[in-house]
Amino acid sequence: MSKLIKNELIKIFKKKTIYITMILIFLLIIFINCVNKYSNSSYSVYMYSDNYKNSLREELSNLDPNSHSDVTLYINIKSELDLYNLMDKYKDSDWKLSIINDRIYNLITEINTLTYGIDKNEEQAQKTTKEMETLIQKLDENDWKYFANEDLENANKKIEDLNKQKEQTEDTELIKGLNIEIENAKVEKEIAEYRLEKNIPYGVDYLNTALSRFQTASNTLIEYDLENKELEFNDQKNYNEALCTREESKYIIETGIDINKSDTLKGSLQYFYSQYGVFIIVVIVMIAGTIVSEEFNKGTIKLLLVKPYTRNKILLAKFLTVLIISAFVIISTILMQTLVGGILFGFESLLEPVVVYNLSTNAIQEINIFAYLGIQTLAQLPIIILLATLAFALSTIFSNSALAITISLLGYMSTSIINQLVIVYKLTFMKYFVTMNWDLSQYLFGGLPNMEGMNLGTSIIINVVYLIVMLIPTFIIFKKRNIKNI
Amino acid sequence: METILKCEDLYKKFGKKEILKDVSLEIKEGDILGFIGPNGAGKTTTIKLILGLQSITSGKVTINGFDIEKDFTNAIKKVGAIVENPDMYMYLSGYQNLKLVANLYNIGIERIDEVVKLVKLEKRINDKVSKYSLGMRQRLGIAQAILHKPNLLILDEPTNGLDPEGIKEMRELLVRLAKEEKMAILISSHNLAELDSFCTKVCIIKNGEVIETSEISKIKHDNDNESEIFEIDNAEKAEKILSNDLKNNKILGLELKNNRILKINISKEEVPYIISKLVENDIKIYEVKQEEKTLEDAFFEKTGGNVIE
Repeated sequence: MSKLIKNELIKIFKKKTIYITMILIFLLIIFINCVNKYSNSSYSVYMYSDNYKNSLREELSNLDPNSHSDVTLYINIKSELDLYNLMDKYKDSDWKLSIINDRIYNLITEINTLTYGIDKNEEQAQKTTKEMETLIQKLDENDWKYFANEDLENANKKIEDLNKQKEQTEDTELIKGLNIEIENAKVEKEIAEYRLEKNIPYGVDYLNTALSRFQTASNTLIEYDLENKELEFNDQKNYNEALCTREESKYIIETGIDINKSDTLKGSLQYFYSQYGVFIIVVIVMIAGTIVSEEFNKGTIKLLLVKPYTRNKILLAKFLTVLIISAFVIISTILMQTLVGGILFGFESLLEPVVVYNLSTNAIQEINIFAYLGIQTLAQLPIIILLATLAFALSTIFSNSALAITISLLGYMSTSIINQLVIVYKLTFMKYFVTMNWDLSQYLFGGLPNMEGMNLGTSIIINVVYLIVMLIPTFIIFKKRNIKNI
Repeated sequence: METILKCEDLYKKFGKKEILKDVSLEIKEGDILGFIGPNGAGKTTTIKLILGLQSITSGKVTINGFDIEKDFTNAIKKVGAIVENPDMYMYLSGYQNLKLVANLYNIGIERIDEVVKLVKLEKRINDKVSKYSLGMRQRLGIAQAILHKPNLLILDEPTNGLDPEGIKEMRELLVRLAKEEKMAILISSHNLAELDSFCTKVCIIKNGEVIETSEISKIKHDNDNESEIFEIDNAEKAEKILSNDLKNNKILGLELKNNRILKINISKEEVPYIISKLVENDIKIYEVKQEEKTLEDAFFEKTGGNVIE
C-alpha cells in the first residue's frame, strides 16, 4: 500500500502541472502582499482637489446673494468653500480636520445663513462667529482635550436632563424610550472618558474606528437588553455579533493594539483562508479530478491494474495520495505567505496574538497566530476534503476530468448563495445539507451555527456521512469496471 | 511440464452482444502460443479476461493454479503483460517508468539495468517516453512486462511498430525467455509469418470462437487436407486417367497446376497406388512431394478470410 502511494506521489511530482500551479499561487501571493503594502500608504478622507475648489469659486462668482432664487445655493457653496479654506490651514493634523468637519462646519453654515439668508441677523451672526473663533483658537492651541471635555460635559448634562424627564412621567412607553436614551448617553460619556484617559485625539485612525464601532455595537446591545425578552435565534446572532464587536473594540481602546490590522504578516495569516482558500481548493480539486481519469484516458490504468494489488487498494492509495497532496498544498501556501509577508512586512508581528472574543467563556481570548491558523485549518478541513472527494468520485465514475473539476468548483462557489437562500427563507430541512455544515468555523469561539438546531457534533457526522456516501459507490464502480478498449 | 495458464469455456457478453463463446486454451511452461485471428475476433478481450481487466460472464481463468477472479493478487503475481498499446507514462523517462514498476515488486536497480540491456534501450532509457518511437515504446513495454521475472508473459500485438531487425531481436528474446526462464508466452499478432517461425502452438480465433488449437506442425500438415504434388511429363493425360478414381473416393481432389504439375488430394497410403497407375500408363514421374502449407494459408483456410460479423 505504501508503495502504491509512493508511486502516485512520484507520478504527481514528476508532472509539470503541480509546479506551474504552485508558481502561479506564489506570484499571486506576491501580488496580493504588494497591493496590501503599497495601497493604503497615502490615503486621507479629507482630500479635495484644487480643480473642484476652483469650480466652486467660479460658480459662486456667478451667483447673486441678493437674488431670492440664488440665495440658498449661494449659502451652501460659500459654506463649503469656507470649510475647505479652513481645512487647508490645518491639513497637517487629522484631529483638527475631524473637528472642523464635525463641529465647525455647522457653525460656518449658521453664520452664512444669518449673514446672507432671508432672515438676516447681524447680532446673532457676530455671536456665532465669536463662538467659532473660540473653537479655532483651541485648534491653534493644539488642545483637543477641550473638545473631549466638552463631549463629557454634554453627555453628563444629557443624562441629568433625561433622568429629570423620567421622574416627571408615568408613561411606561416613554420611560422605556428614555431609558434607552440614558444608556446611550452613558456610552457617549464612556467614549469621552476613554478619549481623555487613553489619550485618543479625534481623527480617522484605528482607535477612532474602534471608538465608533464600540458606540454602534453598544447601542445595539442596549436596545436588545432593555427589550427584556427571550431573543429569537437570528436576534441572538445579531446580539452575539454586536457583543464581539463591542468587546474587541474595547480591547483595542484599552490596550492600544490594532488587532484587525491586515497589512502585517500576522494579519495576512489571520485572514489566510478568506484570501487564499479558493486557490487552494482549485489546485486540490484539479489534482483529485485527474488522478484516476487521466490514467483511464491515457491507457496507463492497465499497467496499474495488472499488478498484484486489489483494485480497492489501488483506488484507496490514490485517495490517500489526494489527501497527502492537499496537506502539501495547504502547508506550502502557508509557508509561501509567511515568507513573502515576512519579507515585505517583517516577521516580528508573528509574536502578536490573534485576539477574539470567546462567546462561550465570555472573555477576550489571545491566541498564538499559528495555533489560530491551525484551528482555522481544522475548521476548513471538511470543505477541502469533501470537495476533493467529490472531484475524485466524479472523475473515477465518469472518467471525465473536466466534468469532475467543473462540478466541484461550481459546488464550492455556489455555497454562499445556497446558504444565504436557506437562511433567508428559513428552509429548516436544509440544515442537513452539506454546504450548511462543512464550514466548521461557524462554531469557533462559541459562535452560533448557520441555523437553529445545528451543532458541531451533528455537523461532523453529516460531513462524514457525505464522505462515505460519495466513496462507497466510487469504490464499487471502480472494482466492477470493465477496462474497455482505448 | 506444468500448466501455467488455463482458460476454460470463457464466455463474455456486452449487453446482448456475445464477444466470446466458450474460448478454452492452455499454455504450459516453455510454450509460446500464437494467438491469431482477424480484427474483432476477440483476441484483446480474451487477454483482458485472462488479466482480470474485464469481468468474465461465465467460464474460468486459472494462472499458476489461482483463479483470476477469486484470488486476483496471487494469480497475477507472476504475470507480465502488454495490453493493446504499450501505454507508458509519457512525461516520465523510460527509466522512471521501469522504476515505478520496480517499486511495486521490490526490484533492485541491477535488475532494471539488466532488462534495459536485454531490450537494447540503454542509449535512450533516460529520455522522456514522449520522445520514443512506437518501436521503442514496444521494447519498453516488454521490459516492464518481464522486469519481475514472470512465468507467464502476455503480449498483445508486440511486433507493431518494430522494424524487421527489431522483430528478429524480439523473436530471439522471446525464444530465449521461453527456453531459459521456462516462461509461458501468449502472443497475439497479425503478423502470421512472424508466429510461423517461432511459436510452438497456435490458437486460431474467429468471431469469438476458437476454431483451432494445436501444435504448429500439425496445422501445417493437416491430415484431412493433405495434398501431394506430382511433377510429371504429361499432366493432362494423368488427370484424365485418375479422374475415374475421384468417383470411388480413392482420390479426394485433383488440381491441374500446369502441364507438368498436378496436385492430388489423397491420403499418404494411396501414394504408391497412384505411382503404379501412372507408370502403367507410361507417364514419367520426376518428383513427388508433400505440399507444405504456410501458417498464413492455414489461417485463411480456417477463418475464411477477414470478415467481422
